[in-house]
Amino acid sequence: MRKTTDLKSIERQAYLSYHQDGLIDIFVGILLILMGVMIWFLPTVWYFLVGGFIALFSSYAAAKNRITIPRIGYAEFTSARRLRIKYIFLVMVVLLVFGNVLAIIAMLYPPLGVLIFESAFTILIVGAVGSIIFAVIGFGSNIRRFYVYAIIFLGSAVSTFYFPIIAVLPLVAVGLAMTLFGLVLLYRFLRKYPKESLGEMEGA
Amino acid sequence: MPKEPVDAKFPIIDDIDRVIHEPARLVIMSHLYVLDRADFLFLKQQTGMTWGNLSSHITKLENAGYVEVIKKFVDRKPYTLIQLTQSGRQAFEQYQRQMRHMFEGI
Repeated sequence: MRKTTDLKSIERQAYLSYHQDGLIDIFVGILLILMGVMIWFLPTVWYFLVGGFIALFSSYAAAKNRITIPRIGYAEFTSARRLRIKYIFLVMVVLLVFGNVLAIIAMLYPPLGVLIFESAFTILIVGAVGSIIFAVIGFGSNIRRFYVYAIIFLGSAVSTFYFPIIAVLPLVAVGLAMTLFGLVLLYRFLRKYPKESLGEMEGA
Repeated sequence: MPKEPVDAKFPIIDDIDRVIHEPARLVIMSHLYVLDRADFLFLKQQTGMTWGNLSSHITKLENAGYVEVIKKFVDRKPYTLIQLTQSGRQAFEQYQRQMRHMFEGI
């Protein structure tokens, strides 16, 4: 039996077992890479990312159903846990809408766009806000690796401020880190939890 | 003179619910207490028990009226879920209080 000691750890461990698969890292990582590439190459149409966001998260739900649940089973968590997840999701949606509003304003009023997106300190502000978002997700979801992503995001934003090679470096760097780490986690998850055969389950 | 049973000397032990007190069932009850409901596979992975072991303990808990097995469709897929009944929740809380009380002041 597992070495868990109290009810709180049992609940946390049960919840975290759902995120051992690395799928959240892979999907958010791909989304961030796409965002970076689109902002870099097609800055005027980046608001289409809302569609990408919705498409990726519905694929995420499908992937969970196909990969995670057949291996570790299905559980419904308490309303307190579900509320925390809803808050995180709400924060992400609000920030996405806010970013899109800023992008639309910048397109409609180019001088304002220059002020918002092309000031010398924009990258540092983006770095600080982005790393806070990662830290909030890490804190709210108990998935501690998001703190590492927060550090990577902030670090690459500061590097971009001093060595302005590619403005979207923080997005691409953290996106790559998340995708690669997610793939490693997924590989380990698939090895650790093979699909249960129906015969074994019926034998219960 | 016949030997007095331990339970008689320590009435608090006599009151302890033996259905819950068994380690494997305690682990199952703890999981179901902190989750709304879970299927057999999830409980198996979390507790590390075998299918047979888990199934027999769930049956004992079900017979005691502490858990109920329900069928539910989630995204058009059928799931056999296990959840604590109201009396199971109360019994688990009572068990917690008794154990806490027993070790009080040590």
